[in-house]
Amino acid sequence: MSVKEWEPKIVAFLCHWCSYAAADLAGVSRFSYPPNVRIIRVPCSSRVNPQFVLRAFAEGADGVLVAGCHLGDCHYVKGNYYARRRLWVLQRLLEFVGMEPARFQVHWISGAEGAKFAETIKEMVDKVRILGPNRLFQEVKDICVG
Amino acid sequence: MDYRVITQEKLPLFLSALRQSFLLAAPVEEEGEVYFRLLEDPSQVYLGPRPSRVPPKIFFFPPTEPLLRYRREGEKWEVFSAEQDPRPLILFGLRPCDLQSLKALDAVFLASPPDPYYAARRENTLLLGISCPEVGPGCFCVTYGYSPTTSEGADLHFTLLGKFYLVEVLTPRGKKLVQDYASFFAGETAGALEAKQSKEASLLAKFVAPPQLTGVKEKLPSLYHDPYWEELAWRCLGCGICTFLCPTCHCFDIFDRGEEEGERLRCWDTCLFKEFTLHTSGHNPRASLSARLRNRFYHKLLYHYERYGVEGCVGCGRCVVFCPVNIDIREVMVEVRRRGSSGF
Amino acid sequence: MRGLTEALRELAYRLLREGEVELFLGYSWGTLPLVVRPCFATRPEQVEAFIFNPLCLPNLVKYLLRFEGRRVAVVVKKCELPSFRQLLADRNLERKKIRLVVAPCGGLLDPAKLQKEFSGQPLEFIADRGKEYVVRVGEEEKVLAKQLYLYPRCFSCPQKDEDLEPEDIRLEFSTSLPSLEVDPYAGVSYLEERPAEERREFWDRVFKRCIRCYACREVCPACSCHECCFDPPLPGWQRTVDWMSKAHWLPEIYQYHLTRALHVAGRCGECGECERVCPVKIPLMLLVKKLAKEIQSLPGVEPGILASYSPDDPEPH
Ligand code: SF4
Ligand code: SF4
Ligand code: SF4
Ligand code: SF4
Ligand code: FES
Repeated sequence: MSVKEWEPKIVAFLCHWCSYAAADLAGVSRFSYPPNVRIIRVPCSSRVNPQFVLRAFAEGADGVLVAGCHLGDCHYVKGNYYARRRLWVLQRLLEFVGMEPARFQVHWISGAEGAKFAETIKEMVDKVRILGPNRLFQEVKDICVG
Repeated sequence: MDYRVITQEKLPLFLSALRQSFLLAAPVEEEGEVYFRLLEDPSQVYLGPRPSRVPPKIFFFPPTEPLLRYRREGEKWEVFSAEQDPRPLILFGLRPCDLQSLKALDAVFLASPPDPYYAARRENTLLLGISCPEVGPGCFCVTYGYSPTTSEGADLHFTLLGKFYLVEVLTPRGKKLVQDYASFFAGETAGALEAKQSKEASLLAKFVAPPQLTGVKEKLPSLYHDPYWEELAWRCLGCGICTFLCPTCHCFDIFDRGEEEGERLRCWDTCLFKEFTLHTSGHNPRASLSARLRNRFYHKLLYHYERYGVEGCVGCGRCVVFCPVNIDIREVMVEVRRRGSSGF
Repeated sequence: MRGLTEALRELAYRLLREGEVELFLGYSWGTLPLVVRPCFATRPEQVEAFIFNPLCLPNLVKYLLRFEGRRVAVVVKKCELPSFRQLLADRNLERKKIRLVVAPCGGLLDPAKLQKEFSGQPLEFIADRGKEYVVRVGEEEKVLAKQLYLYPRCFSCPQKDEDLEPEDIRLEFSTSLPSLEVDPYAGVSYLEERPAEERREFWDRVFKRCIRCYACREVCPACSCHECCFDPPLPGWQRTVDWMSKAHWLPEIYQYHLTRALHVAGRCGECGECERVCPVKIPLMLLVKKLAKEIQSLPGVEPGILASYSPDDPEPH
């Protein structure tokens, strides 16, 4: 694929109760945001097993976003607190193996914040576009393995 | 057979010259351990006593082999053949056991009908063997009737004798190579053959009590239900080291990677993993680790020979040295001879 | 060491003969120079094989899973107690059936360092003399300064054996580990300070060597799941949805290693077995140490850290 036709692919895991509603609202309110994002709805941000994030990158995502309710507003009371700790640790790990921080982001976006959702996506796409395709987890088919 | 010699100084120059027209892979040190790598700088070839950790079977039977690619367009599936690197490959630094191991693999993959992927890689690769400078702590090639200087299977074979290498030219392809690169070689080999023989004798003298093969095949069947396997398996981790690093192990699994678009892959598999023999029904004929470990030794020491008439183990010692809990096939052979009886 | 080995054999003999345990799990010499291996005795006459010396590297506690419900005595070193406790908690093992035999360890000897220093020469371990090891190199006996040949894990030796049960046994033998001032996270900090690009190249290079033999998982006392997420639940072609394929390619290898590091984070006892068994020498302890370091910085860390939280946790970006 030539650099010219490359478009960042962002996978966004959105909690059903807040951030998915925000995405909906952004659509209804016609806030424009780039079409590079593939949304996956999850019941709560704490449903996001770090393996989901790793798999998204392994399958070719250039960036991954996890978004949930603001702290204190989680529909399951404490879900996003659990998610916060876990995903913070995952960020440290991904950066340790050389991933650029902007590729994996976590945001709290309420159902009323359609504009914030659009803005978050826009900023993320811009940042990932500057970084270029994700090279970590990239397939290298070398004949000298092992 | 034809012979040449090449001096120690000229060997890296010869390898550099080969790099101009071939992909060239050889053992090099990476973080202190020996692996086969594409050679960037011929002065980096590792010529010391340790064999490569991962055997050269990766060049013929890679851990991951794409068999075909596919893509779905609506209702239609398109299928494409997988490409192999067409550039001819030269492997330098194959040990006598590495060369012998190809006999075992050939028996599996080149039997009619031949496996086209393996066959193409074999056809596309020249084998430059080298005699071992030392006998390692796990080595038992002598058990299988060859030695640390045996050249069988190579196109060219190098043996260091003082300051020069004796080069055995074993095949027409090897012959063509020494002709094409004639300037690196000399034809004067006086005394070299005798020197190689005495080197072989001195290496052979270094084997301390290698295991005996007589009786192993005959006695194994009587031990199938012996508690020995269970006790041995207590220690075994059930990892894939001994099989993945074995130069003759060749089991694989085939599956598709990617849903709408992807590749059908053939990947290394091992009889030590519990899902290896898992049936669709959920039944697993080798559910216990002891049954799986037993299978490995039966396959290495008996089944492979029964099926192909070629030994399934070449005595390279990799499984001996790299098993994290020291399960040693040589010890197993001794135990089999001690415990078993011939016939049923 | 001879006295210690004798005491160990006597103990094993007594426990087996009197039927106090059905199995005694310890160490014996292996078939290669400097190699010690796990050894299992179920009958008193088998105890002659047991030894204990600074080459007893393996952590034996995970073997307890294979003998669940049986009365077992197991030789442990102090540094293995955290992994033992974790295994006990994770798998709810019956503590009263397990007899810990805490061996007095004065620091393990790293065979790799010896082999590197004296490559090609026959090597034989002779004695542990507190500050030094005595090793026969070729024909000659050499006295070697301990800190130069110490096994990596011993640099962070906990030197404590608390929380033992009254039935557990401490073997008495005078040993000592020279005091060592080392930063257990030195390797982690070094890598953290390299540019991101260099870190990526480093991990690409080492992970490319992974043959996916899963020895690191099989040996790990924190990896005690009945069903690991990396074991395909169905045979080959029937699999449709898997965490990942069996391909030995970087996307899969990264997924495996990062997932495993996260799964054992906070439960890893840092016994270093994953790194010891890896046949292609992947520095796996860097990953778990990195996570241990980060987790220590979290507020109110409790057991099971990733399945808990604190209102004061740091914000991800
Ligand atoms: S014999 Fe050794 S290398 Fe083989 S599976 Fe068992 S522990 Fe692993
Ligand atoms: S079974 Fe062991 S010694 Fe025999 S060829 Fe395989 S790795 Fe080498
Ligand atoms: S890798 Fe994870 S799922 Fe697998 S055994 Fe270890 S902790 Fe369990
Ligand atoms: S032990 Fe090493 S080679 Fe085997 S799976 Fe673990 S990291 Fe990979
Ligand atoms: S429900 Fe939205 S984060 Fe838990």
